[in-house]
Amino acid sequence: MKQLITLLFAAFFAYSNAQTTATFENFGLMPGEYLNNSQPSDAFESGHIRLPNTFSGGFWSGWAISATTDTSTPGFQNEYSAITGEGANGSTAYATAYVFGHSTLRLSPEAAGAAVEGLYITNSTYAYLSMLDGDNFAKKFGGEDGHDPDFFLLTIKKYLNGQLGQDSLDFYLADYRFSDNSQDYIVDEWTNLDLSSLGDADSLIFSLTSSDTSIFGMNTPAYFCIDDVTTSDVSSVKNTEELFYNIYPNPTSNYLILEGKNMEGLEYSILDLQGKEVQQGKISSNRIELNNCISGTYVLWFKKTGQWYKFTKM
Amino acid sequence: MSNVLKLSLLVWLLGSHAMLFGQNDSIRILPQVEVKANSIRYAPIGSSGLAFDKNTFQKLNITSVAEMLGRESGVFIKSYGPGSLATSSVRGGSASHTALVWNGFPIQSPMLGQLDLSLLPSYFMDEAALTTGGGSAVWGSGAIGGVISLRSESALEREGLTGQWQSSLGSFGWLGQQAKFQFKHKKLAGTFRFFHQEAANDFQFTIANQPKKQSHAAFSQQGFMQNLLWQITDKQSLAAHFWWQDSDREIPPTTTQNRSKAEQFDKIFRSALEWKRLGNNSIITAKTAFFQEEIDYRDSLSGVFDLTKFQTGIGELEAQWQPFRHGSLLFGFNQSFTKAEAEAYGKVASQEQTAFLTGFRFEKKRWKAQLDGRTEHLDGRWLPFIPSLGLEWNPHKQLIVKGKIARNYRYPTLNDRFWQPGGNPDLLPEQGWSEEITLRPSILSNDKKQLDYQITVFNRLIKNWILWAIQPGEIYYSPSNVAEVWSRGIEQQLNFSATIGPSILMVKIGYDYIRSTNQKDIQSPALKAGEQLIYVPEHQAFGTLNWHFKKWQINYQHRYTGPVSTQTEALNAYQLGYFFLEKEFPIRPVTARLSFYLDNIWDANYRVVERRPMPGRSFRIGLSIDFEKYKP
Repeated sequence: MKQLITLLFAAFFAYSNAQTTATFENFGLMPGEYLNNSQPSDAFESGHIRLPNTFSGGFWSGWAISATTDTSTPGFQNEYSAITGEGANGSTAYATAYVFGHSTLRLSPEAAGAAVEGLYITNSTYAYLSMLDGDNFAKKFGGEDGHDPDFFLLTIKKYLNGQLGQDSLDFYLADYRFSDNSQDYIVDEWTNLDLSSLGDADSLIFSLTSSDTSIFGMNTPAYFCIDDVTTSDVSSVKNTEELFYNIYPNPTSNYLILEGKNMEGLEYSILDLQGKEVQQGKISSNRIELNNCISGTYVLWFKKTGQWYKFTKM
Repeated sequence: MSNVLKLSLLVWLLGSHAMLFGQNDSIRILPQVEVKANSIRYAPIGSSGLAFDKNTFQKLNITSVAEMLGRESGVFIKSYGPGSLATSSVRGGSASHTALVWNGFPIQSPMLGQLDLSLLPSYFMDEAALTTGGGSAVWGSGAIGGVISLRSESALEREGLTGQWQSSLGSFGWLGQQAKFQFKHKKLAGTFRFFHQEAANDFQFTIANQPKKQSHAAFSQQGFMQNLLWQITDKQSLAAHFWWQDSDREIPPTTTQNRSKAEQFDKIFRSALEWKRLGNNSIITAKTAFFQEEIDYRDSLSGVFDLTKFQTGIGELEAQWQPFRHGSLLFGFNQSFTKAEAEAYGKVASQEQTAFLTGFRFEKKRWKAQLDGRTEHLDGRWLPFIPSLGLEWNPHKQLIVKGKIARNYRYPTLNDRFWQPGGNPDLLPEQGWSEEITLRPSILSNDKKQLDYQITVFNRLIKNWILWAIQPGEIYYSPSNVAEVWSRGIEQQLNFSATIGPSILMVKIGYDYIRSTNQKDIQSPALKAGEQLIYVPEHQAFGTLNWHFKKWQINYQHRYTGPVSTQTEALNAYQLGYFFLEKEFPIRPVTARLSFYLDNIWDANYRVVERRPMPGRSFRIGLSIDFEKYKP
């Protein structure tokens, strides 16, 4: 218990004094081009954010960087395009998310622990035209008679120090719930979204829900686009070189992945909520196997840095 | 001639107007020269089902096997609309759980495990029977819910020449034409068939009392079939069959879709060669088949162009022997090879299959029994042994009691195994056991009237049921052996026929109650334990009235389909009526028949598939001209 109490007071402090905007123009894409493979990196990096991407066997998930301009072709063959046909504020490039469960936006060490000020958001052409006209799998919003109260909702939450924040921010990419159908809309412009109300964060979590579902899940194409993500710079961070800026998954089945620098040889302990040490060791890779943990909530504690992360083993 | 053969001949001559159950003969000999011999694989002991009347399904009011089954049986036809995809659910099974057998060869697509029944022209069939219940021991993979057995042949019984031409015009741009020419000369007989049908399908339907018009729903189908028979000797024959068919159809938008530009083009070629030798106590059959099919899906709107094709070669040897008076033995060997191409496979996928089957039928006095077994070697691995046992007992001359217990399976399709992303070569076959018992009292039977009733209770459990879904942590659909489905139900039929003066009246009524429930809680797709499967109605009923009076024929069919759940919403129950009137005019040397047909006579507003509108009342008028010239 004494150790736990010590941990609870061992939070690190950060403050910000400048902002950086991720515009995705750093990839040098020309109009019509896209990137769906971030390898050898596991994420696309722009400004102070990292957008995870996996690419295998010709198929991708997570995020893509796009400069495609097609606003008229329906279907998944046109999965990278934003309905605006360009990036926010007339720019060329933007990011497109293909969401399964949720998509993550991670903050780089330079911004982790501080607030994300805001970003621009819009629909993908694929989702927009599917909601507008319907397709083989998904309905046109409003349904057969135009009166269905359909919606396509993006929900944003944050992680800070490995813990999921309670607050969330909702943004309707389409909303047909108005009694007056003339007010129904599908977002077709870049919309600036203020995220400062979420507070400090290490990462943001995006999830999509739709009124159009079946036993196979959501019918509406699970895509959306973002651009110009403005983060707050962290000018002074305790033990910057030793800071872990992301630990996942949480909850987890039997392992944790650590992302950061200078991890090698760092001693760690895993404590249960009674403060009892159930596992300890030195970091030899970016992965910790949870061999001694049964299902429950634990704290991963780094004695040298005083950092701690709370996680749940399923 | 053995007693069995004599009995078979008697049964054949008497004829059975509707039920398959009176047709359990193993060897049939027509009064004419031609020898027809069927193996005990057809209409196995203990099974129940229906044999359809050729004089009904070759009329102008029925164009496809989908329509034939969907009106006069407990088979649920999942039709996406006129001219569109139609698949079957038999006894609560999926579309892949109905085996389709044409001239003894399974013809369901090895890529999809199913067949589009709208692409099976009923005019090309001379026999059609539905055997409900498991039949994997006899027909192999997929024969879980039932078997639809179709036969096309050179059926002219006398030397001579016949011809038939049928044309029909109807609502929504319907144009149908079909023709048949048959000849028999000495030992050679042949049948040539042709059909063409097309429709714009621009029918009206209503949504929230607002009229809408179906768009982009036109279709056109055409094909020909050639059946040749060389009666080498009285006991030896060689038959050849060629079937070419082409289908072009537009895929209409759903009711929640503003437009569609999708089209599908199907090209089908099927051929078969069959040599048969009938001994004193034996039938030996050697046959081979080659099938080639192509599906070309094009959606210019979304830029999807998907061409898939497969080729299948089959060789089969079968020997049936009657070693003693009451018993028949069957041994069979089947070898097939399939090659399939799809861009999503990444390479040409192939499948090699070897099957050994055996059967034993025993018939003595009031008892009949049949034991079948099948084992298969597929792409390097042996599948479990598949047995079935059927029994039939006649405790009284007006009562038949019969039952069957069978193991059944379905091997994963090529798409299940090789489609990328998602395909899983390690999928297990779906398999399980089925049981059924049937009582068939003959309530009334004399020269002029016949009344039969039949009730069947069945039970079936299938494990490792394959479903495609996006699994947690994955980003694409993939198949898995995730479900366990328990199907059970009661099927009832009542058949009445009477000869009243110059008229013949036939009435058929059926009612099926089917519960088909998934037995496990499944996360993806979201299915709760105990829930009825989607697109499986619990209640279905059908009734048919057929009246022949001199040169007139009147036919009315009525069908009730109970409510079903779908992927997104529940669909209401509906009732449909079909009316057909025909008058024959003998105009020597031809016979002409004029017909009038009303489809959906009560103008029901209904849906079979979610978001797919169906047409209201529609009509067709038809003219049929028959010519016959036989050698004196």
